Amino acid sequence: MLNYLIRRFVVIVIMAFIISFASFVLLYSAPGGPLEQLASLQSTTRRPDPDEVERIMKRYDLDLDIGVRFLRWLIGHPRGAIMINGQEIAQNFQVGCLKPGKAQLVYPDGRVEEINCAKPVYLRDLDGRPVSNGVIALDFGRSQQLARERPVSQLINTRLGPTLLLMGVSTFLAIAIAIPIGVYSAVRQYSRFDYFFTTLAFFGSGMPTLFTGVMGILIFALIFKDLGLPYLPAGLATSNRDVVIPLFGQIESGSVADRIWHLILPVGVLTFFSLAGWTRFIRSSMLEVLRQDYVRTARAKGLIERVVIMKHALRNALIPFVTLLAGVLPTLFGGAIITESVFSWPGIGKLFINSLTASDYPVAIAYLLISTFLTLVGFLVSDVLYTIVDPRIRMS
Amino acid sequence: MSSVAPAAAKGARVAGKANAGSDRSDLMLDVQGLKTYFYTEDGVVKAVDGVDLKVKRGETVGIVGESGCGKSVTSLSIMRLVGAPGKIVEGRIIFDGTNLLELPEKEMTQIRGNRISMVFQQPTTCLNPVFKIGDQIAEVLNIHQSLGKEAGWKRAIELLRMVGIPEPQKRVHAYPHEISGGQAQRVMIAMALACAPELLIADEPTTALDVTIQAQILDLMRDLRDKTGTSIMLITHDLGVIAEMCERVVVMYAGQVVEEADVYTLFARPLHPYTQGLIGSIPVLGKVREHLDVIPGTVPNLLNPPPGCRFEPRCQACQGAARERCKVETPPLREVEPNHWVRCWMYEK
Amino acid sequence: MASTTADLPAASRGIALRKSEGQWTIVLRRFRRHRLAMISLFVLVLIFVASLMAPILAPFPRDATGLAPRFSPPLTTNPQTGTLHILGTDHVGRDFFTRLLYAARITLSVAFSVATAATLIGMTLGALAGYFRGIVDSIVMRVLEFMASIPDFPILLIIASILITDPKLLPYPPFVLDLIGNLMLLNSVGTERAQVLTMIVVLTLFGWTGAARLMRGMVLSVRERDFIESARSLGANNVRIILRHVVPNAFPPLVVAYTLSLAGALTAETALSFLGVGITDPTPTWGNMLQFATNFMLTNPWVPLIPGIPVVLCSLGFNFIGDGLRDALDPRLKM
Repeated sequence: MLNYLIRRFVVIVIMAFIISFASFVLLYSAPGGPLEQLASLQSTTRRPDPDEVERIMKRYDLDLDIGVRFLRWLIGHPRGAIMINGQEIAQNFQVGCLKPGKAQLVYPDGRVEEINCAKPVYLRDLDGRPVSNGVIALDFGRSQQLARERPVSQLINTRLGPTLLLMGVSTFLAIAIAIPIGVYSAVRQYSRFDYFFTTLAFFGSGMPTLFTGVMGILIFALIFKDLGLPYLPAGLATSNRDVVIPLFGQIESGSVADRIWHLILPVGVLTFFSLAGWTRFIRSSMLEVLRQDYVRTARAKGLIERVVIMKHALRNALIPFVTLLAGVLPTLFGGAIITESVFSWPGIGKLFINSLTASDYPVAIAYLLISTFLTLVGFLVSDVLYTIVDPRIRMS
Repeated sequence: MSSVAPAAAKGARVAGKANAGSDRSDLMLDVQGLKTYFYTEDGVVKAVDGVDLKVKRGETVGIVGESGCGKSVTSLSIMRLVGAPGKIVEGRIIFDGTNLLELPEKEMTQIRGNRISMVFQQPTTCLNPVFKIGDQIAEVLNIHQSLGKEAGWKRAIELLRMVGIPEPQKRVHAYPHEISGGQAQRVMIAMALACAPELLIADEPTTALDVTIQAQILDLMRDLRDKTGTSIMLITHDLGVIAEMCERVVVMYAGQVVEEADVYTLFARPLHPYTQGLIGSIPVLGKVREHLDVIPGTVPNLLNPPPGCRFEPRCQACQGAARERCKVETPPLREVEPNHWVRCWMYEK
Repeated sequence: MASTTADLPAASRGIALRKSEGQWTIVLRRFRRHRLAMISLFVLVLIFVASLMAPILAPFPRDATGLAPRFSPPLTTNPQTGTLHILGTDHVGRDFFTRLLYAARITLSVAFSVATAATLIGMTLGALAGYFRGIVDSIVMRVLEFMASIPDFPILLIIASILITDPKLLPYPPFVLDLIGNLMLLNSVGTERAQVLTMIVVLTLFGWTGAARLMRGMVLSVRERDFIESARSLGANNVRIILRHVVPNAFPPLVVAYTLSLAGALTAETALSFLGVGITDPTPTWGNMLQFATNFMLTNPWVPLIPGIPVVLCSLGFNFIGDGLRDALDPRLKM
């Protein structure tokens, strides 16, 4: 068991490393970084100021080779010449280039070498340059666009609460509603109840949250307000000032009631959407189990139908359910990108999409990395849970 | 393991039954005109179509027939466990004087597993994979005898010992996937006998097992029957099992009973052409025969059964004018000699 | 209750895989019984035909701005030409109905291209992996496992934000761009064609795994059967065996998967364009129209309905047709 866990964890770390490197290369070679933003700011008035360009390149390590940049981002090193026993080593190792072009390098012994860089950057030049502690110390660097110079981890921290709240509540609700509906639909297969809820589930999963979200705002926020009915807010997680709702009373800004009031619509949209999937899963898994011989045995024992269903069948039907929980873990952190965007919900999903449209790559990479890590951990967790819920499976 | 001499024991019991045979109250189970149909997309499948069946106290009755002849559906109907799209359409199932089909579901649950138990064909899939064996046996005791967890487990160990499972105090903690098929069937039998039922329905209890294990399980069942005096309804397609276990035999074909007699009569003098075919198809050990008799053709489609005698399309008994009647009119089940019933026009007086 | 239903005659079990003259009649009959699927088919054909006839039906040029005051309500008459703005105008005074028609053409073409390409690629890879096993199989399987263990939507967004918003990064042969441009009536100046094409490429990149998995499983289960052995012993070559024996068996679930992937591609494109990392204005898609619409919905609440309703009709429609096909082609697949 322990062996298995260790082995799996090593795989996770390797996978996370590969993905982080791939996304690092991808995003840092992508257009639209701070340099381009500077260029677009300045192009209207004058040509980019070369000093300003160099300053920005140094600030964001844009002058360094991709490998060195990746290392500094990942572990926060190198930070200058390497010291061994008080001796500086490899201080003249070239790690990047500040200005492309041709130059001649004259060695002390008189040798001359032609190099493809007008302003080479050496390891010793990294002394004193600002650097993060590295991703492995959970330091994802600083935001470049969205919130200039604020640490990414701080940015994520402020957004984590709303996302956990939204995703936690909607996931819990969806599962809590889906289990009884799915079970009952399976037990009464082809009944009116089953037909109604399978169709409803179809609508739920067929309608993009994009649409249901916008329609929700239209109906419950705009039309209800116009009609003088108790309406719901069109977005955000709290009100800026106290609000009076018709037929309900005053809601104080920032109070618990205010938070719940803001939760209702996005939670409703997300629950309706994911409810469909959960219900269908439980229903089909339950139908499969109800066909099994041991359910007949349970009935033949003289158990009443409720016990047959709730104990013997459901316990088995919930086994594959565990695999789905693996998928829940990353979304609890990552949020629902579309729903958060529709409702301007100040969560992590919205932060991510903002970082992409603003080319704030440190934020985007941090999001991707944490999501990947949690996805992989989710699989591990579901594997472990599997051995707990299904005695037939042993880890090896 | 079971050292009871079967033949002697059986002979004694048959004699005992003969004396009390006429006593009405001696009937454990009396199935009358049972009809169980399946309402499928393509039409109504008449899986059981007018079955009559009697099991006396302490008696072992065999039900024999090809797969698909309605044996299993009959047994599930008795337990009232036929699920959709199947439905019991007609008939009475009188168990110890009460018609089971008229009981409310709640009272039925008090009979299942308590007064009537069932053992199925596939022991490994019949045990719930996520519960320990002890839990599954203790559960029966808990619902019918209100035994607590501890007492239930203690009794479960005793039952496992009774059915011949080695190291029962260890085995009781095993999960179903950790034991062999033969052991699983022993567990199923232990579970079925936990509440000392008056009737045990065994639906092909040995079919899925190895031949050597089959013999052991049959020995065990015979042994337990002799100890407890339970009536047994044994469903099988294996005439060898019937010969070894039963006192009376009911032969089913295409959802109907075609012949019924005591085991000796049936084997010595089968009357129905189908039974004759069945018996003719048994290979006899030590006897060299030119060829085994085979019944030509296949079991009829129960969606559209033949209008007359259901065996008519495969019957080789008679030809000519007599045959015409078989094609249009279903023969009734008739007592052609004392306690020997046959469904065939040939024996009409 | 397994044992009781297992005893039923074969007639009550599935009909799908049996080859006979009447197979398609049966499929058609079963499909027609699915009322929602029939309605969906009707609605989708209507939208499809309308999108094909976009240049004829559209009363105004696609990108002409300032035709009428911004957010003129539906059924406003154009002050200059007297033509009706059937659905009103958008935030820069473009005709909504015209843009909706062109958007339908683009969105549906993207969905069909993605679903078709992804299914074909997935089928091929899955068939190769399942049929030849060995190294091909392990490579395909590793890739599938990798794709399954990454958070795909965030990665899709990242790739989209890099590639689609700056489509110059990928070199496309001009004839492909021309083809796409002519199909979807796109402007040949600027990056419009390249952007739409990149959208197709990116979505295909993420969309092929389902078909591959399905096909591989099918091939694995079919290849051991007797008739493959006999076909092989009769000298049929591998490609022939796959095309003649495996594909027909895999056909029912693949058709269902294809229909559902149409819905998937459509919603994915809409989502990307809505989030601003997909096809961008002035190229109309339902997604980016919806994005602008939501920005102005507080003052003009009817506006999001205009692109929103076709999105939901198509998404639901493809789903229902997929469900209907599942019931019709193979009743055993019924959930």
